[in-house]
Formats: sequence, structure tokens, C-alpha cells
Amino acid sequence: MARPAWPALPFPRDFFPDLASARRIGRRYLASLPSSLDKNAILGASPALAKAIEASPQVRAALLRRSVAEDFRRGDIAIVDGWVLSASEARLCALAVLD
Amino acid sequence: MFLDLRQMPTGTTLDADLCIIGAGAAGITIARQFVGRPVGVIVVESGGLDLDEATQALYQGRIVGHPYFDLDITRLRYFGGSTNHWGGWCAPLHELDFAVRDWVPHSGWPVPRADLDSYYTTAQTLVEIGPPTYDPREWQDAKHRFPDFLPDQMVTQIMQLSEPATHFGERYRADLEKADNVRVLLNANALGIDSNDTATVATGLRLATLTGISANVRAKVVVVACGGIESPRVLLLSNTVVPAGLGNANDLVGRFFMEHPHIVTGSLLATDAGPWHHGLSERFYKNGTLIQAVIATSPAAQQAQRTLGYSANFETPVVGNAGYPAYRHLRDAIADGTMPDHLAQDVWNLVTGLSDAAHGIFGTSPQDPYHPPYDLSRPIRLFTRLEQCPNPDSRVMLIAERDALGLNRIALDWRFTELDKQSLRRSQALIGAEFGRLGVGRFKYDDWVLADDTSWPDELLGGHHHMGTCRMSDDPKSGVVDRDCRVHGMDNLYVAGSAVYPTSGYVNPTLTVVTLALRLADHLKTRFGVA
Repeated sequence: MARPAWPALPFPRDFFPDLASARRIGRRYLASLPSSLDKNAILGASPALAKAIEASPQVRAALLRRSVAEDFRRGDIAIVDGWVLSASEARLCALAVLD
Repeated sequence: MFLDLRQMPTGTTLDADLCIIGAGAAGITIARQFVGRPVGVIVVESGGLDLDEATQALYQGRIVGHPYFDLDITRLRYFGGSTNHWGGWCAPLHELDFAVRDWVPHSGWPVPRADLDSYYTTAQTLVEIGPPTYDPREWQDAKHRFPDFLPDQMVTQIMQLSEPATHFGERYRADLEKADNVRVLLNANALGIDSNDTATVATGLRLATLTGISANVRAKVVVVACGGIESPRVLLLSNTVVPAGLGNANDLVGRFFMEHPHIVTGSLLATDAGPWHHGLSERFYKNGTLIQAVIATSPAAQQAQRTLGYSANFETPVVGNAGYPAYRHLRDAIADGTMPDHLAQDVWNLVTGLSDAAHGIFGTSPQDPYHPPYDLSRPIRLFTRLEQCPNPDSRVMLIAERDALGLNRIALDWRFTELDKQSLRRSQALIGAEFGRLGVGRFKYDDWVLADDTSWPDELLGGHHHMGTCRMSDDPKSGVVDRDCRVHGMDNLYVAGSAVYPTSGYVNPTLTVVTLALRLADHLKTRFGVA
């Protein structure tokens, strides 16, 4: 079954204790990309992230931690403002901008 | 036996089987290997037994490339050489450092690491450190843990510290004094190496003191062991037969100067540093050996990322108001009968930090010294030490300016390549990924590192490690000396020391200097038939 399109997903704002900071990182990350991305493209590139967002709040954080750790293990990172972030972290911040 | 050229008649000629120019780690190591053997050895040392300003000034030169230390402070020119201010850091080069790496121009030693293994073992005893094992698992203790890096990404590199650092002059002076077959000639400056008319055989060298005495040495074999700047200078100044200097038919002498660039390159904001911030932040003793652990990129990662060697140690911030330092301020002031400079602050810190004070007073020992508590709310700075890419344009060369002996001084043109900075950038991505994976926190690059150019800040300095200027290669077109450290095209002229390194790795050079000196001594013993 096809995954629902992004607008159908509630954006988990509780991921971020400081949403403004997350959006600042997200903007920098999006600006660093060679081409613009929309929400579906971001989620399509990261099924684990999409799964975490779709999950219930009870398991969401654990799934996200796993996704982040897997990114780091595979070297799937994004350098944003000099910070070495996992791709999932950077994409999540980007979603906070695009929400 | 020790002699002072200043006390000898001018015009003296001394004969030797083996003449070693320079009494530093390499020169002393080679000379000791011949003690008691039927080989007459002369060790020629520019300085005396102590530092002398006029002699030290012979090192002065120009810096024309990247900013660097004044050249007369980086090395010491008296018996014992630069071991007299050595920091004592030791680790062997890695197998990969010896390999041809297709992403590192001019890489590859003509000898594999395995050829040096037994010499490394002996060298460990000469520099007075622990056993030749560097597996971090064997060095951990309950307090000092190391991260569980993915081995194909990062490693914990153990550095053993010679503590106090072995000063070769003090430590091994008696061996040479007692030796009937070894003469150490002090205050004797090499003006140049003499050769036959075809510059294929070294016949000896010309000497002079700063007081005007001159002399000659006639020798069957000459070893230049003056360090990575002065050794090429001696060869370049040996230009009476060939204007370019001995061993310089291919214009390689003095080129490929390498250092270990030292600089802070980023920060780790640790949310959970676990027990191993002690392991990476502190020097500590294990089984009587003092060690300092640093983080480094693994050989596999260097291959995968096509990078040079990278290492860094933690500069972990400590709390500024710990109890034990306050206790010491107060204790010392009372003992001196003076008023502490910050009495109220010290008293407050002591009262609020009684636990730390008690730990400092009762819970430490020389083997487990006091460390102030860490403040992990502030970033841990990474102090980086890099391998530098061999680069023919990074070089030392003679200039017109002359020293007190009338010899051309040297200019240092220290340069970098695109690979140097690219390696730093890529290596730090690995650091960020590994610390992220371990759940430790997040790593941040210093801004200049990410600038997509080849520039380096002026704050970047070296470690007083001068390497590569008489590099080793089987091919005379790409090296000054061959695998035996013999100058290409010369029958009996050798270079010892870090000048011969084709590549530098990221570890400190002295252990390998001693290792290669032992290997060269074995070669010379065979040559003299005294193996």
C-alpha cells in the first residue's frame, strides 16, 4: 500500500524543544542543497524518517534515534553551519520549515 | 672519549672509519651501536655539552612560506640535539604509512613496515617507554575508557610518553665517553663534505669552530644526522665538486619538507561523554607507562575516503571553581606567609568544593594525579595533528645570507596542497559521524576548515617535526637516499633521521628516527664486516 502523501501526516512539533532553532537549521540545510525539495521528496529519500513521523508518539522518539544512529553508521550526514548532523536530523529540520 | 675542537691545533686532520655529523637521537644511536667494535668512529657535534647562544644562532634562517617558528628555536644544537627539549611522545608509523597510496602523490616507502618491527622494539627501550603494543584495549583501565569506534572509521591511537623524556645526550653520554673506539668532537661545525672528483665517494669533511680553529676529518663512511633542515643544508653546502651539492643531481635535496600541522579544528558538544572523556583527556599511567590517547582516522577510512592521516586530542574544559586548586592556593600562601591574591574566591571555592578538595588531597598519587572536574557544558575542543602530503614545492633552500661561519643560511618555504585541507574536512566528517553514532553529542567544524580553498590560518603551526627533505626512494629521480639511507650516486654517504621520511604519518617522529638509526647501524656493521 502506498504511503500517504505528506500533507496527510501531522507534523510532530514535539520533536523539537525549540522549533525556531530547528527551522533555522532547516533553512540552512535546504539552502545548501543543489536543488529545492518538497516534503514528499524529503520523506521519499528517508523511509525511516517517514516511518518515525507516522508512528505513535510512544515509539516515535525511539524510531527517530534509530534512524539517526543508522545514518551516522552509514555516514549519511549533513553538514549544516559546520555542525555534523545525521541526514534524518537535517531533513526533520527541513520539514519543520516546509510544514 | 670527548674532545673539544677549540682545544686542538688548527689544521688537525682526524681519521675515522665512520664519521657521524650530528649528536642527536640518530647520531648517538648509531654511534652506540659501534661501541666496542673494531670500527673507529668520530661523532662531530656543532655544539658543546650545553646550550650556547652563538652556536644556536647558526640555525637562524628565513621563513618565506607559511608562518613558522624561528628556525633557531625549533632544534637544539648541542650534544643530545633536539632530544634536549623533546616532549617524549612516541608511537610507530602504521603499515599504511609505508604503502603507495594512489591518492597521495609521492607516497610509498621502499621498505615495508615489517622490516622495521624488530628495530621498533629496540627503539622503545632506548627512548625508555613501555612495551611495543598500541592496542587501546590493553591500555584502558576502569577510569580511562576509550570509545567503541567502528574500526573501519576511527581508532584510538595510543601515544606512549617517555617521562621524563629521554635526553639522549645525558642518558647515553657515559657510553660514548667510555668507548675506546668512539671520539665525540664537540664545537666542531661541518663546513661541507669533501668528495672525489666525480662526487661519487665522500672522502671526509671540513670543520671549523666559532673561535677560528679549522680541521679535517678523513672517513671511509660519512653519515649526516643533523635533522630535517640542517641535513639538507649540509648536503647543499657540500658544493665544491658539484655546484648543486652532493646527492642533488635531481634537485631533490631540501624539497618535500613536511611537518605535522597542529591546530584546533573543531569542537565536540558532548551531551553524554560517558566514562571515556577521562581516557581521551588525561595522560595516565598503566603498568608504569605514561600514555596519552588521541583519536585518529583508521587506515581503512583513510583508504575509503582517500585522505591523509589525521589525529586529534581532546582539550576538555574544566570547571573554573574547583575545590582542590583553591585549597592549594590557600595552602601555598599560608606556607609563604603571604595573602592569597583571591582570598574570598578561594575560600568560597574550597567550601563549595570540599569533595573535590578531599579527592585532590587524599585520592591521588603520582601514578594517578589530580585532574580538575570537567565542565562538559562547554565544547570539547579538538587539537588536531595531521599528516602532510609530500610536496616538492614545500622546501628548504640556501639563501645568500650567511652565518658566523660564512655558510649560506637556509630559507624555509612551508607549503600545503589541496589534499591536506580536503583530508582534514573529510576526516572531521568521520569524527562527527562516529560521535553522533555513539550518542556522545554533535561535532562542529571551525568555520575556516569548511572554506573550500587551500588556505590555513596563521595559527597553524608545526610540532618542530622536520621531515622529508632527503627523502628515501629506490629511484634516484624521486629520492635523495636509497632504502639503506645511502645517498643516491654516492658510495659511502648516508643520511639518518627524519629527513629521509618519504611520508610522515601523523605520529610523532622520534621513535621512528631511532628505529631507522638502528637499522642503518646494522647496515653499516655489515658494510664494515662487524655485524
